[in-house]
Formats: sequence, C-alpha cells, structure tokens
Amino acid sequence: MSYVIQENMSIERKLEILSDAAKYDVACTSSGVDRAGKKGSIGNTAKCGICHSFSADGRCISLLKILLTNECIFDCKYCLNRASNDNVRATFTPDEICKLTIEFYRRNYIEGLFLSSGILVSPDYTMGLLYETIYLLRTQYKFNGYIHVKGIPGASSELIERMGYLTDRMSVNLELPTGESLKKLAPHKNRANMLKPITQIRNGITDNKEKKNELVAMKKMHLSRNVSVPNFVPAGQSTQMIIGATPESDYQIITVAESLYNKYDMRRVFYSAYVPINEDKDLPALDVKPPLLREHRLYQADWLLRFYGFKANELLDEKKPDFNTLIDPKCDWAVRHLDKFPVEINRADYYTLLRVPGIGVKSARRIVSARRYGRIDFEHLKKMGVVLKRAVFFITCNGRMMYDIKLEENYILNNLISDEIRNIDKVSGDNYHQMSIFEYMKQGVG
Amino acid sequence: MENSRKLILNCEDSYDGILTAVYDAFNYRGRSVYITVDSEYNFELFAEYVEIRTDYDKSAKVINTIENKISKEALYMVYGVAISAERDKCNVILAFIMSGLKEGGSITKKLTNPYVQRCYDIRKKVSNEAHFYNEILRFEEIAGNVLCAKISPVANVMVSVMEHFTDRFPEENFLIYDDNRRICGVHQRSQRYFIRENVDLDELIYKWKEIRCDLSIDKSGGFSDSYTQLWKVFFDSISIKERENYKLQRNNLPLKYRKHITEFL
Ligand code: SF4
Repeated sequence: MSYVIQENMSIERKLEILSDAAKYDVACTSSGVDRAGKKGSIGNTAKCGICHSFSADGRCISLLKILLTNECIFDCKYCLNRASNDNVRATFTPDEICKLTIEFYRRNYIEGLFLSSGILVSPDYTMGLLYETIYLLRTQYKFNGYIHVKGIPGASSELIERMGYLTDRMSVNLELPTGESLKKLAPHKNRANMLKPITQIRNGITDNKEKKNELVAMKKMHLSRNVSVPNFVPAGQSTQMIIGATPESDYQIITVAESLYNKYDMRRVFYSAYVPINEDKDLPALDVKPPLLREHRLYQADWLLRFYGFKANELLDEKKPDFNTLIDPKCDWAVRHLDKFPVEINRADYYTLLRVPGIGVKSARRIVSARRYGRIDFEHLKKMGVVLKRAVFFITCNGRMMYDIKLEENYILNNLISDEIRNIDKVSGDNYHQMSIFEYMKQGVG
Repeated sequence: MENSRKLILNCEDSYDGILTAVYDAFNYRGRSVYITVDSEYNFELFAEYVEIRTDYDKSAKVINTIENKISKEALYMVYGVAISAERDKCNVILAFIMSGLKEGGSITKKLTNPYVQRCYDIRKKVSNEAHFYNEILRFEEIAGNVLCAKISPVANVMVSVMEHFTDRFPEENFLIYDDNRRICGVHQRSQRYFIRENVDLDELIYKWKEIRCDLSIDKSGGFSDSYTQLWKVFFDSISIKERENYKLQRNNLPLKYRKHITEFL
C-alpha cells in the first residue's frame, strides 16, 4: 500500500499538504440535517448549519476539508494533483483522519469532516479506502457529527451504496459544465461515468424517503413498532462546477444547474471560480484572476432558480448568454423586462412580487399576509424588509410611484449599479468604486 | 403624598433576581413601579429605591403563574429577555407579564403591543448571540481529558451554550467560563451539567485537578494543547491565496469577537 511510504512524514506536514490540495472544493453544512447527540458517542448535527470560522479569503470554514491522498493516476489539466505534476505527495492513514476529525471536533473547531481524494490505484480502490476510513470513524471512534464524502466515478455501486448509509452528504463533482470541456481537460473522465453514481445516489435517496414514509404510515396504524429505516445520505447530494476554465457561457452553466436540480434532485450546486495553477495551452494563463464576481452572480442566479420560480431561459438566452457582472441577475432581468413593471404592491400575486428587485421571499410573504388587513403604502414596506432603494423603480402603492421616475433602462441601470458598487467591492476584493461612473456605465449597458 | 413618588426596585441581574422583583412589584399596586438591575447607572434623585434580595420561592411562584395563567411560550419569552443585556429589559418583562395576565396566552401573538414587539426583538438578539457562541467557542485541552473554553458574551447565554455542548459532547469533561460574569458551566462525563457563580477559573481548574489527583500539571499551564498548532496550520492552508479578501473575512467575523478564538490568537 502506498501510504506506508510516507510513514515518517509528520502529521502536521500531511495536514498542510492535504488541506491545501482540498481547498478548491466547496462544501457547506447548511441545508443539512438535524440529528441529536447520543450517549456514548460524540457529536450532533444542526440543519441550519454551523460555520465555525472564516479563512483569509473570507470563505466559511465548517468542516475539516482534506484529501485522503493527493496522489493521482489521472491527469486532469486544471488540477494541482494531476499525475504529471511534480509535487510532494502525501497520504493519510484512516486512523490519522479519524483522530484529526475527533480532536478538531471536540475543540469545536469544526462541524465534521469533508473527505475527498485523488485516485490511488483505481477508482474502486480509492473508494474502498474512503469507506474504510468513514466506517472506522462512525463505529470505532463513535463519531455522530456531520460527514460529507466524495463519490468517486467508476467505483462499484455497492461501495457507493454502503457509503451512503454512513454519510450525511455525498457529492460527485461534474467539474466542468459540458461533456466537451471535460473531454478536453480531463481525458480520463467522462460525463456518463459521472452521472452514474449521481443517478444511483438520487435513486437511493428517493427509495429511502419512500421507505420512511411507509414506516410512518405503518406506525400510525400500529402495525410495526421499534423498526427503523437507516438514513441514506440524509443531507442530500451536491456537486460542483469550475467556472472560467472553459468557454461555456453563464446561460449554459445555469441550464446545467437547472437540470441537476430538476432531474437529479440535487440539494446544492456549487460554483468555483477557476484559479490558474497549471500552465497549459488549453487553460487560461497563470496571471488570469479568478472570476469572483462572475461566481457570485451565478450563486445569485442559482438562488433565483431554487427559491424564486425563475427558469434558466428567462434569465438568459442565446442572444444574451452572460450576466452583467455589475448588477445582480434579478435586477438584470427586471431592467430588460420593463414592460412587466411597475407592479402594484396591493394586487400583484406572490410570484410577481418575488420578481421585483429589492423584494425577497420573506418580504413577499409579509406583503401578501399584511395586505389582507389593509392597504399597504411605501412607509410600510421598509418595515417588511423591502429594499426600497431597488424596489422604487419597479413598484406602485395604491397606483402611485414613490418618486416621479421614468421607466427607462439606462437611467435605472445607472442607479442600481451605483448602489451595488459597495457589494461588488466586498465580493471581488477590488476597488470598483474607483472606476468612474462613465466606465461602469459602459460595462453595465454593454 | 408618598405614593406619587416613583418606586424603583433594584434587583440582582439574574433570571431569579428579576422575577423576585416582579413578585414584589405586585405588592405595590397603584404606584408607578420600575425595576432595575443597576441603580448606579442613571440614579434618580427623587425616586424611592428598594433593594430586592433574590428569593427563589418568589421567583418560582412567578414562573408558575406565567406558565399557568399565560403560557409556556410566554415563559420562554421572559427568560430570553431576562438574560439579555438590554437596559429596559426589566420593565419590558414587567409590562409583558401584566398584559399577559390580562390577555392570556394570546399575548405572544399580539405583535401590535410595543412590549411584545420589544420582547421579540430582544429574544432574537439573544438567540443569535447564543448560536454565535456555538460557532466560535473554542475548547482547549487543559489537562488529560479536560476541555476548557472562555467566552465573553453580552447576554448571559450560558444555559443555551451548555445545552448545546452537553448534547454534542455527552462523554467529555468540559468547562465553559464567561469572563464577563465570572460564571462557569461545568460538565462531567455522562452527567448533567451545572453552573457555578463567582468563579476564579484558575482556582477551579486547580481544585479539579486536585480531586483527580492530577497535580502533576501545575496550574499555570505546563500542559500545551498540540492540536492548537495543527488547527492553525489547517486554518492557513485552507485559504485560497488568489482569493484573499480580509474585508470579507472581517465582515463575516468582526474583529471584536476574536478575543478567544484559537486561530486568531
Ligand atoms: S482525478 Fe483529476 S481532479 Fe481528481 S485529483 Fe486526480 S487529477 Fe485531480
């Protein structure tokens, strides 16, 4: 076994190498699962998720995010661990991973473990090692906290299934938005191979839910007692796409995301701005900055798909395939559909309200319930959580607009962008506010 | 004549202290009664002050009354407000209980009542802070199998934090010390936790070790937690250099909360 080789590498050095190699993977414990603590075990989980810290890049740290090994027989061009790279390799033993997880967990550094891996020997062999580790952690170490494990495409379906009963979440990364890009940059991978475990996990989750419902029904009729159905991937599955390494448009990306949500019952799709690591003619140059703002806009669009009733082809289309990075996708949609506005707050239905920039899920609900008791005016909206600075351009209260505003695309865009600049600075870490208003108008309307 | 003077009941800043004052307030019907937990702040020259000594029988009676005549939900509300650090909390509680006794269990739904509104706001703030400490609290191993954490919360969130960690770590021995209040939550393996007041943390740790015959480690340290270093290594290497953004980090985790967070020490 290959991990015997680095027997004398210190645990500190291994941790450094194998967390550094895992840092591009996104994971999040929110939209997770509630599980109470157990006598004799260590750990519980919270549905709302618990973020323990924030690293220097401002991202949340909630899990011990590591690779089992950074050795890899594959040669994906975008990846630090690819076989052809000459870098230091390390491999944890299952015991080392368990100990780190438990010791970090009991100091309240983390919510649990996020374990991924390079491909050692073969996909099935690697999945076997991952399984061995998680099995040890759940049984011997009695860890009852959150576990997220990568499903390795090409591993046997039996291993994937057994893993599903031990973990809270599983993910198989799609890596790139289209099969063609994948072929070009990850010669050892193919789309069909990836969709296999994704489909298997989806089916497993659906079956598991049905069995649980049956059991509840039977218990109600007092037919069975003291039987339980074990959980299968209770926090659902997620996946990730790299953004900006390949030429796909935002439209292509959110269309893929949409079908992942609809067809594969994905809990989350993550987007990861590509950070140039390797020099390659098929990749962006090393000095290209990661497209953080674009990533941010994709997350916002993702939100619109999941909670706002938007469809991908409403937000973008072949003619306008990319988001305007300087305003959020909802504002972007609204200024391009001014014929649908203004909307009357006292009459519009819930989904129409949701489409107004500055009105979110909470405030839309509040509006709908409050107007049963009386007419709503502008002064009420602020208390309901509406961001008036954005909404004013798109709404009327009792037939009146708040100010005398012309519904004109450039005028509204200009206002929305200057309001958005501070957020943009925060996300990108750049100083957009130093741009002249003229410069960003050019970008904004273009 | 005397009855028109403002009456201020000054009580201990604790759940039971405040409820004792509420109990006594009912004995002064017809006068304008206020409750305060710190008379030094905003001392009023022409008011009459009464010192209230915490009486657990009295507070238990008030608790019973709230639960039976108003609702359990109302009791949770009162508790949430009582542990907050808001200046107006005692009078908000008094007014809330008075209205509750008049209107019954529906009081917690009456969001048009300004006191009820205020109760909701305060409780929200308190539960946010409690959740926040579940996230940022860090234990350090101070001796074999004893974990210790320090927190400095604005509200007294000890009970909620102890509940969380007792559920999470049933088999651990741990101490959580609130250095603003000098109170300490103590949990021993497989047992119910308790909270000690007026604690000198060093002394407490020393005694603990004495009981465990574990004085080999002197109280000023001599024991260093090797995982602190490993955690710092992880914390640094998990960040993506090309995305470095301290502004965003500060936004998500403001500097003023970092006092006891291992990775920032
Ligand atoms: S399979 Fe590809 S992406 Fe995964 S570790 Fe190996 S080279 Fe990297």
